[in-house]
Amino acid sequence: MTAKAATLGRKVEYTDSELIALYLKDQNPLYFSTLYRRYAGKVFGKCISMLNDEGLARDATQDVFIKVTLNLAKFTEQSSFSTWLYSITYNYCIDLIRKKKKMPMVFTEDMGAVHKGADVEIADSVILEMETNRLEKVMELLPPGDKAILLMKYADDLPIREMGDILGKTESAVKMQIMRAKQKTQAIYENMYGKDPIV
Amino acid sequence: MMIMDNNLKRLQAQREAMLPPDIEPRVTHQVHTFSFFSKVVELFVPNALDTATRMVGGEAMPPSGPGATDPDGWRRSPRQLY
Repeated sequence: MTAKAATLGRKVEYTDSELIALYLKDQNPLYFSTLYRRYAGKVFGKCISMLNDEGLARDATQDVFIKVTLNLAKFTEQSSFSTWLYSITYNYCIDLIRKKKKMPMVFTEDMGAVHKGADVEIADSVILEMETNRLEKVMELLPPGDKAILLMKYADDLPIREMGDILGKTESAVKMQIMRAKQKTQAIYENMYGKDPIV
Repeated sequence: MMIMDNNLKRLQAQREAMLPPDIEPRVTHQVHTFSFFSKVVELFVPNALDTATRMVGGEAMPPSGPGATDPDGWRRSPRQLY
């Protein structure tokens, strides 16, 4: 989301970039609070989806914003603030899962479960039209990298190039990961609900 | 505003609404602490380093500010200087 403006005080409206510049200049926490209120919900939502645990998501949201405070001077505006914030969020959650579960596998491909011949294009409706309760349960079983890539594409509407920047992958690799993540989603759905139609 | 054109966005919106209010004071407290320490560092560290340099026999930083380029400035009263 490219935030156009936010209200700070009564009348003055600031964009994300203006708030960052003002915070870095004056070190006034009020500017950072405005940024927090604008994005905390988004960050928390992503943390819950990635970590499947409200308590962990709460701590992760706090840690992400503290990380942002400490690194705000390094933000170069090559991407929007929201993209930068989401990249910190996704990478923080993936690292946390890696450490907690001691699992180096992040994407379906890493698990070696995908056969080369299985590159069948899956319709977006697998994700977009699945009933919300079922989607929630299926998402819980996806590997963290697949979850992140599906959220970036279908919830954040990020372009492939930005997704590549966030995950440190090429555009073609990102497209391949999206396809694999959709295949995995469909496989988990069929495992849980049999041949019950998705749509 | 996000357009709810798919169920993943709807699911995310439900989760975003669950944001606990107690995170904000904790984050704000941390931000206040960082701001305080960065101001302390900005104010005191240059002088502390200067003092340490003098103590080990090094040269102090070249003088700066009004009158710094005037070699006879020390002869004049502060009122004349400014």
